[in-house]
Amino acid sequence: MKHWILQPMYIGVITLLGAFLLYGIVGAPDRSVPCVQESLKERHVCLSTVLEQWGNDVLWVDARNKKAFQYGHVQGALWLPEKDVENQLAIPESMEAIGMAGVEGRKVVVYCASDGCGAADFVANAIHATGFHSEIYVLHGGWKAIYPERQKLTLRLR
Amino acid sequence: MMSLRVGLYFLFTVCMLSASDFAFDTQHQKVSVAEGAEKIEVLFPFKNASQDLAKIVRYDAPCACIAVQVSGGIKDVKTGSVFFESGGEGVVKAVFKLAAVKGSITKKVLVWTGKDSRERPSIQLTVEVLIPERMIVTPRSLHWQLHGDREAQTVLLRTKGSEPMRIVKCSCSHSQVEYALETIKEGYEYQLRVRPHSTKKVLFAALRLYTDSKYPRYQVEHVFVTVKPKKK
Repeated sequence: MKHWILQPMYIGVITLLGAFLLYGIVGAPDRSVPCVQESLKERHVCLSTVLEQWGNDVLWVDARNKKAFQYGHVQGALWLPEKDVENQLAIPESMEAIGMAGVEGRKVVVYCASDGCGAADFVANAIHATGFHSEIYVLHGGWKAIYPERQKLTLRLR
Repeated sequence: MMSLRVGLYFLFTVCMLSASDFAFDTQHQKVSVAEGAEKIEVLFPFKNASQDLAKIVRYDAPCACIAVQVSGGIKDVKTGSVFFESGGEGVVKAVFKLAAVKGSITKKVLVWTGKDSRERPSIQLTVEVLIPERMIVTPRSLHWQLHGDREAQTVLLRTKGSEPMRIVKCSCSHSQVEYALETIKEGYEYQLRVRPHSTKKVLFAALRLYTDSKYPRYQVEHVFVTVKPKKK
């Protein structure tokens, strides 16, 4: 009977020790969004590509709702929510920002909440339709990919 | 040795109980909606096709525009998990707020079963919503080259469907754009002639065409105007 009590206790203690040891060696869990540029759809981009190859010299476009944008976004990002994208695009400041990014040779990178939100694709298509800019990309993983890499980007957080 | 066997058997039983096997009729739905639809409900019926008790521990959509509900099964109020006996049926309902968008939108609904990790739900349901266009604008964007000629360009606007939709007003975001709207067939066909005052400066502008549609998503159409240098 004693075994039934002691055995799970031993297992528990060993598991906990193992977990602490692993945390000590490997560190905090990796919450970054895995991304392989070659496997992505056309006009989709990994955050690592943006940071390493484009030097973060891009125009960020946030396609999430107002609440999410106000909670945090990439510094300087243009807010173009999916549900009102055409009207927001027709605002002079938005047109100027996107158009001048094209003239200056800066790429546009659109992000939404995560990989499955779909808003970034919709907004990227809407921007493309304006003809202001031809190099528009969708960030794989969206904000979920950006936030864990906040040391490498300038974010504006509430 | 005996206790190890008992332990392994116990572990196996726990694993089997937590494993699940939900079979959906379809995991991808293409839905066409009516012109004035503000929200739609998309249903994904499913069945617990495994021999064991299975549970859905979480359901969500990465877009705030979708509310997800699960019906059927027995809900554990404390944890929010929904349990389904072998052969038990249920429905995942996605309520999609369409707002003023039109065109094709693809959204996902994520469902986590008892065996999934927090980061990776095993069930991904896709909804492709087709919201009809009421006006075909050809082309949607006009370009002039910087320092090039400023010849007028024409945009054709045609109402889709049998019901008429009139253009009642036209305006431009920039004073440096000349435009003239011509009616070809009232409520059905219009022509817009556009040119910039000058091509000496870079210009990004939008022409707004207001219609008499009763639905907000069709009340404004845009035509975008650009004067910019040729891409190197």
